[in-house]
Amino acid sequence: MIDTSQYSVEHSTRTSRIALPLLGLAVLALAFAPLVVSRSVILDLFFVLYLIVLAQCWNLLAGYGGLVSVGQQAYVGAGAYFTYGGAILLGLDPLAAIIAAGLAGAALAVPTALVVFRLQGAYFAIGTWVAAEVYRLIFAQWKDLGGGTGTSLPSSVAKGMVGVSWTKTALDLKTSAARDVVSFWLILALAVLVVGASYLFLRSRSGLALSAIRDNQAAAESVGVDVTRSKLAVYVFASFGAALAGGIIFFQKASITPDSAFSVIEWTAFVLFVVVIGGIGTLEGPIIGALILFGLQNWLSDYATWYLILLGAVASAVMLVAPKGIWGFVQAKFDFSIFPTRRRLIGPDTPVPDYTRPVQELAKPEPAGVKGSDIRLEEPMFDIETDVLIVGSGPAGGAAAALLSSYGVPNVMIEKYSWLANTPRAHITNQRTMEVLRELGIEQDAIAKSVPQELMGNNVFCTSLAGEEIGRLLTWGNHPSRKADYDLASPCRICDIPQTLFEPIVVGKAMELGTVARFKTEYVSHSQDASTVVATVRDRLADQTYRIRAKYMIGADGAKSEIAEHLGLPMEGRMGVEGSMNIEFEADLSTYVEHRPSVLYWVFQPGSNIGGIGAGVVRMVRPWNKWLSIYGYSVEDGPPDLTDADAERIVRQLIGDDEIPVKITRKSFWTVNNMAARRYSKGRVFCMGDAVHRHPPSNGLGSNTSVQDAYNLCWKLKLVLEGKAGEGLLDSYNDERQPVGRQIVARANKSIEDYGPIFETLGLTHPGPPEEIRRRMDARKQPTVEAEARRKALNGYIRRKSYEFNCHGVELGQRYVSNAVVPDGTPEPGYERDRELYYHPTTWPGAHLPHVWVDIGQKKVSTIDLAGRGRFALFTGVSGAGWVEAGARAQAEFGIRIRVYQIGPGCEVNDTFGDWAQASEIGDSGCILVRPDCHVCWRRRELAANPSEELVGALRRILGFS
Amino acid sequence: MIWVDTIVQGIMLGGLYALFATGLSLIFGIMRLVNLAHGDFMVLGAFAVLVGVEALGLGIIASAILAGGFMFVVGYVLQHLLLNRTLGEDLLPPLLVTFGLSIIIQNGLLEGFSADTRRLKAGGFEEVSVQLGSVSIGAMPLLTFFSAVVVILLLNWLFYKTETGRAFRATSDDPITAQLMGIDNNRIFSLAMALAMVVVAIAGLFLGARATFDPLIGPSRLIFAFEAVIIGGLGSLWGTLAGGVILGLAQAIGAQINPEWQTLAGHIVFLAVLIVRPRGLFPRMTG
Amino acid sequence: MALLSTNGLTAFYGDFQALYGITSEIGEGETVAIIGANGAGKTTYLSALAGLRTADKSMIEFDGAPIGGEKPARILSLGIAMVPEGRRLFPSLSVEENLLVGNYGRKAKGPWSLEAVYRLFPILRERRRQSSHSLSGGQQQMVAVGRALMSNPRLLLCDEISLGLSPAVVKDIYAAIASIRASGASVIVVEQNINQALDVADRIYCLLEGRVTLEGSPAGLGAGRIRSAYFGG
Repeated sequence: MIDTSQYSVEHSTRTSRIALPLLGLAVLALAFAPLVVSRSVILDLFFVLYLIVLAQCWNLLAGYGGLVSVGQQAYVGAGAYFTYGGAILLGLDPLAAIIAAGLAGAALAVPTALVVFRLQGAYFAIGTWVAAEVYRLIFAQWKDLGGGTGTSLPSSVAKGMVGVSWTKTALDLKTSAARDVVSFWLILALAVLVVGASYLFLRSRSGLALSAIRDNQAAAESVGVDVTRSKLAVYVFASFGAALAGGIIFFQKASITPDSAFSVIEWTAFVLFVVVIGGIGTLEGPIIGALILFGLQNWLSDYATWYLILLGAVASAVMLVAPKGIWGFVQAKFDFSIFPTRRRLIGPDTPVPDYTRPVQELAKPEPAGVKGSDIRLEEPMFDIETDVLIVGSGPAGGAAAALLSSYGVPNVMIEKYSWLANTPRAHITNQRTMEVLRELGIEQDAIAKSVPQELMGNNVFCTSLAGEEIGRLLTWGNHPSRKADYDLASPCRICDIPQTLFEPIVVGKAMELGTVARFKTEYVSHSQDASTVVATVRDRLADQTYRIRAKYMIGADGAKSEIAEHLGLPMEGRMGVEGSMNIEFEADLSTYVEHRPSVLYWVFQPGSNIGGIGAGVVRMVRPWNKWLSIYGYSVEDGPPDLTDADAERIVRQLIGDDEIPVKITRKSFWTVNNMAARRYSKGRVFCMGDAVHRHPPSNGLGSNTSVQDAYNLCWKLKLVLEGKAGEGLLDSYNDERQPVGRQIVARANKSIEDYGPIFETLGLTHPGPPEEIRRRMDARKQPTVEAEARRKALNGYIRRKSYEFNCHGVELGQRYVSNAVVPDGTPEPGYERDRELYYHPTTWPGAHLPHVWVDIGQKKVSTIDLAGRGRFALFTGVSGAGWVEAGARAQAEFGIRIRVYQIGPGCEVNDTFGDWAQASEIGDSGCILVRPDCHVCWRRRELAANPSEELVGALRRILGFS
Repeated sequence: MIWVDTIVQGIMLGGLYALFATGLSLIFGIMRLVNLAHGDFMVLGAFAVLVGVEALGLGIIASAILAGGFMFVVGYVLQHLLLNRTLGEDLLPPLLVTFGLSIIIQNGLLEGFSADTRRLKAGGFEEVSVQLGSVSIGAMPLLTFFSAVVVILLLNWLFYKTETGRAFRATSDDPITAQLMGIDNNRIFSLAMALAMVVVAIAGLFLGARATFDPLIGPSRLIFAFEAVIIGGLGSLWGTLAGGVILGLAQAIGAQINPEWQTLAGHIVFLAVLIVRPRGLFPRMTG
Repeated sequence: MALLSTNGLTAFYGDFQALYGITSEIGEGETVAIIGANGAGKTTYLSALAGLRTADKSMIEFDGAPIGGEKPARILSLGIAMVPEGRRLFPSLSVEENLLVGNYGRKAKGPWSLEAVYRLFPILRERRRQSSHSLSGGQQQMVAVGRALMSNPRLLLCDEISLGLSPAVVKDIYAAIASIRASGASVIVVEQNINQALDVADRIYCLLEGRVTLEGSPAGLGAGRIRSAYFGG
């Protein structure tokens, strides 16, 4: 990462700083030229200047706007005719008539554009030509101006013009010569105006947008450029310029015919060749081209036809051999620019990165080039069709893909990058996540790659790994008093799996089950209607854009989610609250950690509380040789310019050992975010994971919550896609998961704040000389009353960190309230202990199914194992035969799968330990209905009078049919 | 009565425009190339016939066959050596190069044949007319129309009934995949251009036989051809014929009202179609 | 002797090197699957075999003769036909015409003819006059396969033929691949769907970032090894 403050964006180049003043001098010299040079030279200059004007206008159209017109003679002619009309028929001063004609030409361009813009590419070109022909024929009907034979400008008109009489006397000229001089001044002014305006316009944001359209219309549209409006603006401007030029040219010529005013050769062919030969898409090109044309014309003035043949051949050859023209060639060779319209990034080091493709600034990555004779397969002609499109292959997207595939729902998953996570990132894998892996049959695969609970939990607070240990907290359920809570809550153990190892297991399973995964494929945009979402995606390797049509789309595209942005999901909170860096390194730290194994070692040093997640962290990635340091920076100052040596210095400072071999393997920067979406979905698009909850890693909740988002949504999608549930069921996704997202974002950010008091108590909040720091830290070791209070406070603050590391209630305790949960009329059970720290199992509708061990035959299974797998489960007891029948009825009624279990002695499932009797909270004739995501959605304490009717009624509400 | 006559004249004129347009439509359909020199190639074809008649002393039929062969070779070579290099995603190169060709042909013809207006003489056939009820139709316009229909029939047969035609259409759909079928794009494109040039030569024959021509009238004929193609809708030759007839009718009716309005009326109908049905009146649905 | 072999095949996709020296071979009558995530170079590999990508002459040998970098038309005439990714039917051609154009560049004697293709995919006979884009995705894929068969290839290249199709249709298509094998042709399938590939192939090559990370017969390779070759784990 780079320190952005050292960079600046500049337009100018060295040549431009020299050339622009020179150009100014040249214009000044030209303005005084009539004093010294002859009339014929003035007329030559007049020719060159009007070519520059027309060429620049056409260049703007074709070179920047991509509007290849061969009909600009329409506006030259119209401008000329309007000028004559204004001057002769209305008696306007010719200057006023010319300006009015320019405006009239621009006005004419608007309705013309409405018609010709309906044509694309080459047909647009001929369409503009036809439009010009129409104008020619119409103006030829203007009998007051001579109809088809034309007319001439009475010399009285020119004589009366402002400036002409002055010029006559000042320069001692005849009227006709004075008219030439005034025309010359006018065209000079227009040339400066057009070139200058084009220059400023192209440097502006609109100009950038225009270039973006030229480079890639679809991409430009996707970043919000209004293509049609930008094109129209350019078309009108170019027409305005052409009309003004037409007025001036024919004022000078003093006579007009429709054929001359609307000549395609004169006003378009020449102009086109000028631009192409000079260099299309540059401001310098048309000027160079005009000079070359003038030279050629003088050289070959006696061979008019051969001159034209040569011109056509030269232009064609230039197009084929050097399509960027002479100036393009010069530019490529010498990196030369008089009018720098492209922005470049200027930094402290050379080489200077040159962001010369303007479209990049509007977010389009570089397309892959085409090499030599390679043939590139064009865009596929087909759209991929699927039921669910998943954007992103992280924990949320991967889990969604695996779950949908396990339910038999066809899905396609796209991922912007070439493969899965390349940094360890998330690692704490809580029991709920493991339960999902267990259902998918990959729990053992995950365990094999994990660091077990026992090695996770000596959360050390120290001044460095080698330094003083301030305190230690047994975390992740490792304290004996908490171990039972964790063990009782789930059939699965919490563990630590770096995201780099977690994702391949989940995504691999998804693909094994049928997910079609497309990597290096990025989401571009989407549209949706009542039945379909069509996403435009781009294969970044092939630079091909194609579409995926799906019935639903899942936006699991991370904290920078474009889908959430395109949907306009309302967000609260802010991004980039603090800055943080991850430094991955390899070092054998066994000496410092083996006696106190943990995933996290918190380092309290002066400065380690700045930015970041509360304190410096040394995180175990693999025991005990792969590590990751988390260190903060102030977000206001931006990410520091971090060399490997700097990184090593930070790492050594945290370890407190200058001797131990350390190898830095990777550095990356991220920010602490505090943002949650107020809505998770819109229409047929559902966002999940970091796209909708963005928060720091504290509490280790991000990846876990993402997996649960997927677990909540996928079965609902399955049922709706199968037509077995109403679309209303999908609303419950938002209602159930949004409060969870909001809760964990708040929780994780709060956990950062809880480090403040520890720093304060240790006297580390402000810097000072080492001995001073030492003295402050040792203050708590004195046998004084004040020190005792300090010791007590510190102990309390460290214990409070259980809210980050033993937050079992936040991890497992979600109780959903939504349409997909039918209350049973009982009040919500209270919380006997702290609701964040402790998980309170219950079968109250909305809560997660409590785990207890039961026996089926000789096999010990969890109640959790009985539920899930895309089907409903109905638990009842010895006296619940009525529910068994009701389950069968409901299954037939809705066509969904409901697995009914009777639990108790003599039943299919034996409550050997008697735990179910305690946990179920129902009588032997009652029932508990559990959704495919293991949440209780309805229960009945005792047998109902009409079990089938009640169950069907409850399911009807849950499935969104009432 | 005068109107019936006008309509018949218009339809016959439409036959001529359809002939003008067929080559353009063909080339665009197969290789997405808009040939801005199309009109000038027709004029070149007319001059080729003229050379056969006046310089070689051949009959007009023999000259036309010779001109057809000449144009076939010109088309093949031009496409092979020059135009194939312009094809690609960027539309400027083909546009500019054909525009350049247009200028070169016009001025080359000016250099070779001067700016005098010419006419192809069909040995009095121009004077013959056929009486259909109360309307008399010139034999030459009738022959033009008939030729347009025959040309389109032949081309459709070629496209839809022969293996080469299939290869044309496959290449037009997807040139890369066509290569996987063993089709050589460059050859197919060159062949298509050669074929289009034969049609252009036929168009040139009637252009010269029905009215006078000079080296500079190409562009205006290109515009008529283009209008016929767009009015009819891209991709269908019968649509092009219909487009030609509509344009011919518009011009004939316009001219009947005021002779100065002939061309203008055609343009206005064209623009109207563009506003109402931008894809033309009879577009072929493509994917 | 191998029917086709690649010797250190390198290929570029634009400026991006997509293949870093692929050495592979396929015997007469053998079916080989190339698996890997997209971007691994599978399609580039097939494109190079079909002549759509430049390669040194000696990098690809077919029937003992070097053919690297030959034009697609020449390669087809030697007997290598391709079912391209995304089917790429000719939309303005009818189903039957799409099939017929398949032997434009190679008219070889062999088991496949219009009649034989219709026997393989009877539904296509019913639809033969229809425009190809009025077909379902699966039927389109049948046309694409049939079109390639029309040249009676000695080697058939199939690129992601299961992509975007429902599982039932994929089964049908792969059933057809089995009968194509039975007719004696060699087949290379490029697949992202591992299970599908393992079912059909005598041998597999797994590509990761343009290199072969695993090769062998499906039976001899455990799921774990395939997964780690595929994922680079």
